[in-house]
Amino acid sequence: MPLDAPDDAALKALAQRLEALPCNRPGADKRWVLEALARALAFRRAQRRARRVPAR
Amino acid sequence: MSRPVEFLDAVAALVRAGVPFVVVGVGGINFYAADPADAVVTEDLDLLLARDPESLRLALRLLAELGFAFEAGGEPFLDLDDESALVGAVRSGACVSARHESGTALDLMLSGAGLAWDEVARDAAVFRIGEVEVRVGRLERLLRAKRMAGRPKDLEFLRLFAARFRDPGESR
Repeated sequence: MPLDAPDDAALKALAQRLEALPCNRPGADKRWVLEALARALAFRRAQRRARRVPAR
Repeated sequence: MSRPVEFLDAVAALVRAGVPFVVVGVGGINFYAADPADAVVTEDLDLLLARDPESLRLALRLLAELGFAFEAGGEPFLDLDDESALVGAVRSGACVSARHESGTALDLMLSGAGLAWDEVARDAAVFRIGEVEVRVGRLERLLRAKRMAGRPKDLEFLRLFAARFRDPGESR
């Protein structure tokens, strides 16, 4: 593996720890995840538009 | 321009229509973030679909009604009722990209490294997005799938993700 990515055991431990967080209980409302993604992409698009050099 | 369609609208519509899918990829990993500061921006949302032509047809028809356009393998996917195209896409484990002019982009995946439908669907986590429930791949599976994909960007993502969420009690 070219990069020092974590191995399966490390990924498993990490996943189990994050899944056990109270915010990740089954049925938790994660609407914000998709809303945040939409906002972040809208911001990126606005940045790209602002960087465009107007054609002469 | 047609009415903007946000990720939330599209995913909720797919759930309501009964399309069998599980959110995977970085978008799925983000569901396990505690708040927006921990989420990783991705250009599109990966949805693993049940590997059958009817599920694909249902998803495509619904998204087409919302104004999405499709392509697979770099070619436009135009005839949503072309049975042979649907069967071919399923057989080859294609990824159909669904793009809306408002910027919302979904990848409808019929296969993926480390993402066998039966396994991913069997133990998927269930979260709510407003009024509907959406299935999200278990975090361990999503992280392992990135490792199996093995592209430099996937491995770099894992390295940064592990560093970001390092156990505070873990020795360095």
